[in-house]
Amino acid sequence: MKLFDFGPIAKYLGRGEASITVPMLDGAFRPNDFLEKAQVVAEHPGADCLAVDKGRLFLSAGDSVYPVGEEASDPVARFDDDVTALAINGDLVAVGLSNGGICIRGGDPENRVITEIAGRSINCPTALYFQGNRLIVANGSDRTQADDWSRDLLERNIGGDVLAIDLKSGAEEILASHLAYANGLTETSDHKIAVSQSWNHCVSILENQNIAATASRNLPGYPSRISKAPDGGYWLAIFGMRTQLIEFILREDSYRTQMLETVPPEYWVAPSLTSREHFMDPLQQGGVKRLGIKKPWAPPRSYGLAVKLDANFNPILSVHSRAGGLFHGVTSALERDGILYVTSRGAGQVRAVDLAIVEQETVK
Amino acid sequence: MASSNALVRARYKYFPDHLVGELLSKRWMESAVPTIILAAVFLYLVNTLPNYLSPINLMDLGRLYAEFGLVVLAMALVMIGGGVDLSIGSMFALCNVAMLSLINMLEWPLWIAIPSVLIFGAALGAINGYLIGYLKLRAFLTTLVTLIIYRALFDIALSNFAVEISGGFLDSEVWEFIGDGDVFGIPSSLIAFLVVAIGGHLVMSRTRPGWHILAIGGARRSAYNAGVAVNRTIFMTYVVSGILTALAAVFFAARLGTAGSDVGVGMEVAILTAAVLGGISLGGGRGSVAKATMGSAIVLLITNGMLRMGMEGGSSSVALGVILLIAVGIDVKWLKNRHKIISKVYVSPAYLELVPAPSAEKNSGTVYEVNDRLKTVTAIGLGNIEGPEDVILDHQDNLFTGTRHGDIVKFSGPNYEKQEVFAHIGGHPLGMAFDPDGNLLSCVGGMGLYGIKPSGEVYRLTDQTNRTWHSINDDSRLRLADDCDVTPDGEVYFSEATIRYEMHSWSLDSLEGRGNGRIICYDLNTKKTRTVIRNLLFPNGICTAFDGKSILFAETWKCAISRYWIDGPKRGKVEPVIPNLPGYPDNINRASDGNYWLALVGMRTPTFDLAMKMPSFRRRMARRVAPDEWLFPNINSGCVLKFNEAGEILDVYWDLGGESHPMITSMREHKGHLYLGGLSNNRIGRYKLDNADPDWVGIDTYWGKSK
Repeated sequence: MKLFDFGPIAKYLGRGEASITVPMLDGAFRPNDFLEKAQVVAEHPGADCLAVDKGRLFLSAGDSVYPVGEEASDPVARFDDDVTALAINGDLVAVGLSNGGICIRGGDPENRVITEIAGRSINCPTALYFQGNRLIVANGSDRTQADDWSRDLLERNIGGDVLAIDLKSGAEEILASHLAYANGLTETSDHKIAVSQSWNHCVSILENQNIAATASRNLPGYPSRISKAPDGGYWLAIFGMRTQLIEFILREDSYRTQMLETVPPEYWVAPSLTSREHFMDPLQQGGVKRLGIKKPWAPPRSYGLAVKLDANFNPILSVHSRAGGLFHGVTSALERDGILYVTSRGAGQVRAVDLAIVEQETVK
Repeated sequence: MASSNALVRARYKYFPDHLVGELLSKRWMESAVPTIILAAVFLYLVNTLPNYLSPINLMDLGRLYAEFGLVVLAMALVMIGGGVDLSIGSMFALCNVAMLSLINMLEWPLWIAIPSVLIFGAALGAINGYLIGYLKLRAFLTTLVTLIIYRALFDIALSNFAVEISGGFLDSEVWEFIGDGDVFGIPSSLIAFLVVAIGGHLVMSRTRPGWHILAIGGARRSAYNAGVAVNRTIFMTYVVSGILTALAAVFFAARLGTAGSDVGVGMEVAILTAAVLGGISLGGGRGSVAKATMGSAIVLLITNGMLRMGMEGGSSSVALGVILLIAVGIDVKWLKNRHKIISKVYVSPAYLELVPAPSAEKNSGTVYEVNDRLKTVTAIGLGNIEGPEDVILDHQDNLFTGTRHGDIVKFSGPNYEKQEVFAHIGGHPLGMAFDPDGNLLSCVGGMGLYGIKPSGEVYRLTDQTNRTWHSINDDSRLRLADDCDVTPDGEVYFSEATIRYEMHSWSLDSLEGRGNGRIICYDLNTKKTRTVIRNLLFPNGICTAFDGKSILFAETWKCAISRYWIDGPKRGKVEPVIPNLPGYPDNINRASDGNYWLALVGMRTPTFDLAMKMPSFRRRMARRVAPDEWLFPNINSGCVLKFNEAGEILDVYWDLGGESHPMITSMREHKGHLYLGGLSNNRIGRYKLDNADPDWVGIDTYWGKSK
């Protein structure tokens, strides 16, 4: 049977590489509405990346970095471009910029901009991570910029890198390349770097300039940033869901290229970060409103999901905002003091989920 | 690009993809394959063998065919009942010996001997029938055993009486007629076979025992639960099978008059092949006399032809075996996958390139530009009504609407808080209109055109129109009557959105982009129905123009409004009114200022417009992707427009965001308000119009002011 898993026969029969199956939302991914019910703790248009430093929580939104959960909500820093990634280590604040490059403040020099590491230009910084003196950089794609991620998906690019620079010694290193949109970084308990690959729906663990292992395979959505949980596990933000239709269109070269050429990007058949609907958006049959309601089980163009992974990156539980909800396009999730802070890029909000309640209500 | 587009367009214009699915979903298609094989084999033999069409040869073939056909009928009967009879060959041989013994050895007269042999055959069959029907033994094993036992009996009889049997000779004209006679060139045995076949066909297709056999073969337990005498019926199929076999043996005996030791050897394979090849399913429950006669003709032509072409005896057995294997394989696979195949090939998208339309986006500056004027709409029957596709109001301000439960619901004016079921029709009542006598007419999806008298009594106007001779799907039945309007002459023009899909699967039609719909006219005076325009792309809203000389109709997937002239110099002509809407038009109704209201049920999206130009993409999508995941026209937001006779857009009312009325399928103006309906909504909207005549009632523009 493997014989027909490739090439035109597979394409005709829809099997093997042409199969468009998407994992069911079951087990650890069983739907709930914790995110939809959660309390809003901050509202900033374009709320994107959370970072924690000395007990203080920060959020990047638009071109600024804001404190979260404090009385003052004025930005603590502002940059020339929109911020696409945020990492804080003591006085050092590193951000990715939407036009490419990384800006590091609080070090020496005060405003250091890095546009290239080990010969690779940083055109699409998506995540940053401080490993001691080293700054690890996830560069999503060598072709597109961070705001243009849907094009990168539809072009089926595999051009992401994970780069490292030692801020003291200046040593530069390529930790991995040819990643399908590197979009989140963290460090395992044995000090290896783990990176999420959005278009491969997995988390990969890097070692010796290569992928040593791949965990969380075949996720039901597109993973984004990863953060460490206090119990040794991780929180993984999923910014969009895979649907049969998108998987199908990814295999329909002629339709996809014509769509990329002739249709404005906001109306592409692609995941969306926002639940706001426009009358020119593509609609799937299950998304037709019935009796005034968009059903939660409708095929989601946008969705809100954060997943708890254990120390081996196996999914164990998840919090959702389903189709028809508001809190969609989750790009960052961070746990602190038993509270999970989650950002919705689409809604421009940070919400706090009480994990004690989640544990209690989640059927084991 | 342009040339390849033209190629695609031509390919989908001239190759009728949709016929494949329609053909496959017909039951008679299953007999078409054997028919073609039969014709091919026959033509081949006619061309290859000399004098194949000579009367003598045909007569010989006829006799062979009659005997073989009878035993295949015997087998078919048992198989349709869910069994199988392998002992037919042995029974045939035994009956042959019995017949010859009775007339040659015991010298019984024919009028006793023939019935006796038939009873003997019935008894042999009854043994099988008792074991299988009453004792519930497996048909295959049981008849395999009786095959051996009957064969052994035959061998014993033959070895003991061979000399006596072949020694005697019955000199009888009747006997000779049975064996060699003919009536007007038709062999006597063939006449008998035809009589049996026609009788069998009538029994199987028109009588209770025949239906019982089919029911048992199809689902034994269900047949039992339905009260069918399963045991007795199965028993009887074997008995009748024995009688038919004995009859064939009588003709065989009369024709040859000898009892060779190889009579009936291997016959069961040929019979099985014939039955399965004809289309009688091994699993039971499916088959007919016609299929059996067809299958036996094919097998007879092949075996006889191979013999005549001088091939060795063994080779025809090999050929039969191979054919049987293939036929059984196809039978099993086809039965299992039939529905899957049909569902995969039935949806057959065509090429549809829509005319570019003005944008409706914010700041686009077009007349369609979005607004939130419907924000102040109030709800009627919120949460108490499901699927009010169309709404209509009478002089007493009563509001009528259809629901997906098949009711016509009445809301009493002027506050519309009292809700009652005015009439129950069934189906899904869609578009509505009042006739001159004050009866409410409604197109009912899934049923046809119905009327409701003011008393609430429901009556049918029409549920069928003239059938097109060349259509494969029966297009006389109305599947999806959608909207209607009445002309001053008392003609009801109504649209049937699609003739390929039912009410519950109308959305599949959106993937096709082919002109599957039509406009039909029912004359209230002559009570005649006729199809007026065919091949329209989901014709939907219909409205008689104010002057009564034309009707306006909307084609939803074409995003266009057209006019059909019913009077005047352009009578019978169709001309475009609005060729390029930015959304999908639904119902059209009259407005108080002499213009027309139009509901846009949804808006065009660039991704779906692109898909409409790529039929093969949509076909693959229909096959691969689950229906809920299909790309679909965006019918989650729409608007209401007003246009004039010339097709110019005068006004647009949007419910931006689709909070209350995500999908507007209809609107009706009444006394300064606009009432909104939606096919999948749970409310009716009421919107106060500025500058509208506060006394205007829609029906008055049709039938004049009432009292």
